[in-house]
Amino acid sequence: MRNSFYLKMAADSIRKNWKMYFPFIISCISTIMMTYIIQALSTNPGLSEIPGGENLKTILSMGYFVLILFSTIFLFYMNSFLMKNRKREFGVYNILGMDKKHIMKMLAYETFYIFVFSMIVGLVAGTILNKVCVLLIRQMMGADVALGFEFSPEAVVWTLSFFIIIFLLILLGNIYQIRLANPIDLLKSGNVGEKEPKTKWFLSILGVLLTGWGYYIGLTLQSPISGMPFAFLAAILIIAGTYLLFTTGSIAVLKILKNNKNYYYQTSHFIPVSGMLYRMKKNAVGLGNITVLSVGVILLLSIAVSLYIVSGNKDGDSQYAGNVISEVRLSEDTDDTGEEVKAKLNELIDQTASETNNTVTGLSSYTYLNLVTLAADDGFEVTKDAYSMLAKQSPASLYLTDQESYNQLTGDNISLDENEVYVHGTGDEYTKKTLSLMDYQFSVNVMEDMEEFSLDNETTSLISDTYYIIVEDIETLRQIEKQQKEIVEGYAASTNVSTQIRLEQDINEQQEIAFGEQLRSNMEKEDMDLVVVDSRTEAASDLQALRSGVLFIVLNLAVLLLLMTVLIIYYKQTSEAYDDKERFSILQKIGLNQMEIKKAIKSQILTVFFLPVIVTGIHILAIFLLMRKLMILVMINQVNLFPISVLIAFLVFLIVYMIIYRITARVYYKIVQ
Amino acid sequence: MTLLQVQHVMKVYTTRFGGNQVEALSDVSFSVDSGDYIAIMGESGSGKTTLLNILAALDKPTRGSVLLNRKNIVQIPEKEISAFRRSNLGFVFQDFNLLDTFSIQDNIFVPLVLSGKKHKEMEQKLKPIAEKLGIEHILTKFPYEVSGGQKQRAAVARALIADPELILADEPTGALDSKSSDDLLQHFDYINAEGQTILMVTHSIKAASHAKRVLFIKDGNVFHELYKGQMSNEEMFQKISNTLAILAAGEDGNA
Ligand SMILES: Nc1ncnc2c1ncn2[C@@H]1O[C@H](COP(=O)(O)OP(=O)(O)OP(=O)(O)O)[C@@H](O)[C@H]1O
Ligand SMILES: [Mg+2]
Repeated sequence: MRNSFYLKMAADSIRKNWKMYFPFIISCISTIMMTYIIQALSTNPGLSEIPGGENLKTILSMGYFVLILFSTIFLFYMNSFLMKNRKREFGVYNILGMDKKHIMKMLAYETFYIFVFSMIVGLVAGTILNKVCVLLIRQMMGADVALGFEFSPEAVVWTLSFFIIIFLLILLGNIYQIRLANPIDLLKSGNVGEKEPKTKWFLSILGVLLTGWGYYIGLTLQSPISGMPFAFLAAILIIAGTYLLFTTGSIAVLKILKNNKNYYYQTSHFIPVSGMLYRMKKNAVGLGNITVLSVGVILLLSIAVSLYIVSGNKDGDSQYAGNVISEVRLSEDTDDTGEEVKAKLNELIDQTASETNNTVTGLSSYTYLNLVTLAADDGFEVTKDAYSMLAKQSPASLYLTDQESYNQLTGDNISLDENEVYVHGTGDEYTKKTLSLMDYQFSVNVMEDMEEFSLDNETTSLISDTYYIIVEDIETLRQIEKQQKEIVEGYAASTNVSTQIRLEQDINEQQEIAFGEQLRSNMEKEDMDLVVVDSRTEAASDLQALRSGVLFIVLNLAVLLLLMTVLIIYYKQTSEAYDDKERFSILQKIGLNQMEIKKAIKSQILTVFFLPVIVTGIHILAIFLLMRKLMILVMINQVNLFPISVLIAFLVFLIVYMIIYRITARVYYKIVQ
Repeated sequence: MTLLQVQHVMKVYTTRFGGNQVEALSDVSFSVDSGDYIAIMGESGSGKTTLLNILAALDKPTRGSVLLNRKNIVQIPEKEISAFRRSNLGFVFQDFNLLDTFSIQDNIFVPLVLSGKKHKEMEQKLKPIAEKLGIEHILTKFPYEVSGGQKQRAAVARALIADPELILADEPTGALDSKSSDDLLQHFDYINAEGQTILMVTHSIKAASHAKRVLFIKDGNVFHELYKGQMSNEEMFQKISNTLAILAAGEDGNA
């Protein structure tokens, strides 16, 4: 037979079975679309340019990984629905004289059609949706937004190759099934149920252990940012555990119920328990899918709600005490005490003020050095390990300044001896008498009410342990910088002069930005090694851009996941309803009345619906702490509001879920009637 | 003692669009005594299944009444009808109607579970019935794991387990080969000999020849009645064949 014959036959068969293929194709399209969008966003160069963009990318690529895992399971699951119904048709073909090789060929063509179709629609829809997101974000933010859009060929290649693999696997799986089956099996497979599953204790226990391990990591992981791989691991463990528990655990539980004769042989238990046990294998994957999706939906929704709360509340954003902040790196020369730079800067600020018709009402300036270290027995260790993602220990961040800077900044009058330091920890105070840092051995005075001088680092201070340290003089600071450079080389930090400039109170945003820009160009003209010049307005809008961007992406994802949950539930319920139709008609003939049928259906549907919700709730509780730590990135000091976000997200989810429940219960009942 | 009285039952089906009316039964009357074994025969479309559905309280007649133990089942309110059905009637269907989700044993238990019986009582009731029908060794299997004949015997066990007044069977041998059919009819004979009343609709002359009485239905009326009396199965077989031949000839004559 010629290829064109198969092409036509495959096309016909898809058209004929459109009702069955439709949900599958929808699933393919939506997974392709999601994969493309997330991949496109996580490789979007525009994202790196906004503050926190790198963190966002990390979150997205983590999401991408989970998405791939989930898409695979999801598509296989949808395919199993499809194949169950198609097998009978293949059996007829086989008996009518089409040999298996030809059936496989036809199947391959069908798969190919679906692949091409879903890929085209998915990528086009993904591209459009991506664009729509960006346009809306731009509108929300007012024109200039760092989140630029471009068609991402890289993402296309990734999505394409990934889905080629998935489709190939699905095809191979289907071919394998057909090869193994004889025509009679194929003919029967539409109506013969799975054999009653066996209880697998080992796997049930493994499921409990994996979930427990995942929970343990979730509850104990200190720094999810540096311990990102562990957060990953926790997610994977919990997902794997969930599937195991649903597939084997649920069977074990149902078997126990069934073996309890007095419980089992009651009208309200007899029908649902046997019904669930009968198709538990497939049912279980479905329940697992629903649970994993639900957790995803709730997490994403709670992130979205958090972002919404935070962006509505601008006061919390002010990272800067001044209107404009500048930071200048000191030269490599360790004799440079920064006096020159400071003097030059003061000059430039005055110049800028007169150029832009502003008055400087306040100016504070200090020299500081920020080191990332690991806490050691007798102080802090400067090592490259502190920068490693895999570090077991979360790093400690040290902010060092000299006492002259501190006195100037705060108006205090402290005086330190040589090799003496003041230390203040944002979390726990430093308790030891001495503090060793590379070649230095300081004696420690704790100053609990120390002004936390580096104001723009609240985020880090919440994620890792942070210590503020005042050393005797600028020379010491520079020596520490030099020693550190020799150890960590490429990661080395430099000593900076940070200056905060306060302008008149009634200054407007344009003037503030104009001052900042003028100052920047003046500094650049003088060849100063500047780290940043930023105005409060700019910083706030950058942050706002990030938040709105993330809010948008997250909301999109949440909606897509929710859609998928709905699709799975609906598909599952309707296909089960068709299975149960005969069952209930028999029961009715034997003597089960409408009321009792309704009750039996209700208890069966209730289990299917609310078991995943309960497990979802437990999962959410277990990973709540982990999520809270991650949310510090976006919510900063308003992270206390995160539980409220989770609660709102859960409620929204529950409402949608109840609606799906009502609808599918009605559809199910209608079909069964 | 009269168990069942069917009086002037008429059934008119109105098609969905209201236009055509089909008179499936026009005026059917007969009565069944306790311990009777009745076969109902007739051509396809003569109204046998319709009649059986009415007797089973699955459908209501357009006119007429059906009295079981002097109680008019036509007037039983909808709510009580299921309970009535499972405590008074047992069913055997052509296609077995066993539930795939239950083992054979649980399938047999269904009517008892629905009536809220205790598990212990179920086990006690099952034992003699399963022995009688020769299905003790397949009780733990599932319907897709046993043969058609075994399935039908399980269905008979299910029909018997609640001690019904009357067993209604719609072409019980229809899906069975001749060996399994003979087997099943033997079992029906035993059951009937123990006093169980059976009413069976069938196309099979052989099946009908086991009954004590055969009713022939034609065009919605009881056309003829045959009593077995002391006849052997073979003689009864011959008589039924002859009647059917006359029935068919009559049709030709009319046409
Ligand atoms: N639900 C219905 N609606 C309309 N007409 C019906 C309905 N059920 C049966 N009929 C008609 O009533 C008549 C009797 O049907 P019934 O099913 O009782 O016949 P039967 O004797 O059981 O036939 P068979 O031996 O083929 O099973 C037929 O003409 C049939 O078309
Ligand atoms: Mg019939």
